[in-house]
Amino acid sequence: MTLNFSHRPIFPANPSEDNLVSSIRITNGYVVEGIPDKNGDGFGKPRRFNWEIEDSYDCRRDRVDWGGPLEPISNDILDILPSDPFGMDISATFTAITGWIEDMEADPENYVRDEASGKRGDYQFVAGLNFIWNRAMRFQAEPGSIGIGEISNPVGRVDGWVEEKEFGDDSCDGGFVSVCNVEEFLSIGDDDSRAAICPPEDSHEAAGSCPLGEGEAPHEALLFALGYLSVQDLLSAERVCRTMRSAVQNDTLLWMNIHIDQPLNDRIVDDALMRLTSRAQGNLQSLSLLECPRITDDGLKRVLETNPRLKKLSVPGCTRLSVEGIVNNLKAFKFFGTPGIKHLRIGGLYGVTNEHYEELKFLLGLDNCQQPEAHKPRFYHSGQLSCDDDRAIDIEMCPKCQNLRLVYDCPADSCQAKQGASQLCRACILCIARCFQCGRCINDSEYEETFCLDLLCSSCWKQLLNCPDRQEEKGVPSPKHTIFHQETRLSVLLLKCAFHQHVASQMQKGYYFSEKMQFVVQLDLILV
Amino acid sequence: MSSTKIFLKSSDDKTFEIDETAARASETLKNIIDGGCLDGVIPLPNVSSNILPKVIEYCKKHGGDNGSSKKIANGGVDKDKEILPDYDEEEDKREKVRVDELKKWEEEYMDFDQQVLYDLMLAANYLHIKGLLDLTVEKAASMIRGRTPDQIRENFNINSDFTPEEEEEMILIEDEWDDEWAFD
Repeated sequence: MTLNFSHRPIFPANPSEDNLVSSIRITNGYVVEGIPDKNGDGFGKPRRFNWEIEDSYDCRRDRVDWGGPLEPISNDILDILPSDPFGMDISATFTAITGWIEDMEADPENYVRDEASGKRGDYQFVAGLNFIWNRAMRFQAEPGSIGIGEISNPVGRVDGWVEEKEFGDDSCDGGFVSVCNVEEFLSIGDDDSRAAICPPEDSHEAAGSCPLGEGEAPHEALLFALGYLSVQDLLSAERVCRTMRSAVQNDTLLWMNIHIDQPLNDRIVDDALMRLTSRAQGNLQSLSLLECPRITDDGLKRVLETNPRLKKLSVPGCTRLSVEGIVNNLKAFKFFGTPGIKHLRIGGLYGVTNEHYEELKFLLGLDNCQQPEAHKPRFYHSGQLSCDDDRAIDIEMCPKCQNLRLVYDCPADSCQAKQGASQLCRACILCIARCFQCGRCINDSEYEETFCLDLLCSSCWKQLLNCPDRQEEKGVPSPKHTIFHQETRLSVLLLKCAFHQHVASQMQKGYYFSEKMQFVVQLDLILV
Repeated sequence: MSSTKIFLKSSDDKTFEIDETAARASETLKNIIDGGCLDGVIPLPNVSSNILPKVIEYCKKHGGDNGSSKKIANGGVDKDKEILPDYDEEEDKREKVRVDELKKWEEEYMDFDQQVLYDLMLAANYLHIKGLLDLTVEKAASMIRGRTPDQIRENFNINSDFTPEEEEEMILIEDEWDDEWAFD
């Protein structure tokens, strides 16, 4: 927690005046500033200092703690509402979920990255469950390999660095020192309050004795690593220190391909997206928003307006975007006289009609009959909506139901062997059920149903069960997922029913849930 | 290819020997060799004598084989192979053993402290050894990935030099994201 000392020293220079209107209060041990209009300090915007302040500004904006929106918003509403309106025994459920999250975090390495989202996980009941939902799916999908897909821009970045860094190579140490100096000088000029408040070592540093080597500022070589990080990690890195911040924020190369997915996707809003994309300074080339429910058509429009060089746009599972909005945005984008978007991914978008499809194909510069069959086959995998192949648009007409959806091929040998029949095993995921691990059709063969109602073919199921033994031989601790799966299968089933009933009742009350969730819940209730 | 010996001189005037084939793993050295400017010793004023052997060790392992180092850089898994059913199983097995062995070697190779990591990154960059740069930078990146700013500082022994106001501002920006959520 940081204190805000503003631009003025703690002890006012002119006590006589400030004695009249005390500009400093102490609340719960935090030094809090009063409203200093009197001195014309020129605060452009109201500042929120700490959530301990109850009376200031907007009560809803003050977080009381991390306890989630229920508490902060509704200090008064809570008193009115029954504590457990649906008889769900929510607190017990909640404890169970928190327990799982702890379990997951206890697993070394793999789940460190979940901590941030874990913290947010108990934010909200539904969000928390969704989180578990997604995570649970991920354990099974890619045990032990979280992180490989995380790289936002793996190849090509290094070359950029290599080019740039050549200048500095002649004097590795020298270059480093001078960077520090600049930083420190900047911080001197920044504001005098720093010198007044900072501890002695700090002001000593500011006086010019530059930190040598490590211990104070990041090593120059560390900045190479930035090109290998995802957006989420870049946002963490820029908060480490000034050198890192300027390296992250001012390097347009880092922001030319922006890919947002877990865990940022649930949080990112239009303004934040705007800020991130503006770091590319108009050079944004590809933008990929995976299941970002808070991005709107208008937000996308603003991004497109400021980034004329965008070539690839991927918005699968962004539930707030409409197909009309996307068509209009692309129209306007093309109107600018830019090269226009060449790759579009809208998998799972609802309500795409034939007219939309034709229009989108036209906007992408595809001739009507040009969408050929000659693409390499696409397989269903882990329910992922993003397909990174060379097609201009990801959806097409399902041969079976004639709807415009993602259409998958079948990897099963038996289906591929018969050349003519391969067309038969080609349809959207609703027409042909597929194993979410390997993507083969499971019409006739045995299969398992997982926690998230995904289907697993029997061979993948066996493979998944065997995998911990193999890893233990190598001395790697066994992944939690199998144990998790076995131990909690029963309780999970019970919870699933309870939760789905809860969701159903919420849905009747007009709360919004994702399409998949609605489908799953309806299915479940029919079964029950 | 005949294995001509090449001599490299570190910044502190120590000379090391390396096969030409191995040296070709480095773009910089390759250019010097192909450019014909090879007269005796190549001076490397940016690489010290405690890092250079490490670099040479890598080059020896990877000199000549460009394919496998690339595969390792991709995480050792060739994704197409997982999906496409029509590949030679024997070939795949041998390849897998080789990749496993290489991975194990890399694991041992990469066992060093942070200062060496930094120096190695700089040396790999200077000598244009893409595989080594990927390997080292990936290691550094993995120490950042998924961490909070505080954890990153701790990992790399960095002090925050932000003023309290700046810290405050960053928290405010974070809050903005969350606040809108609360209004939904």
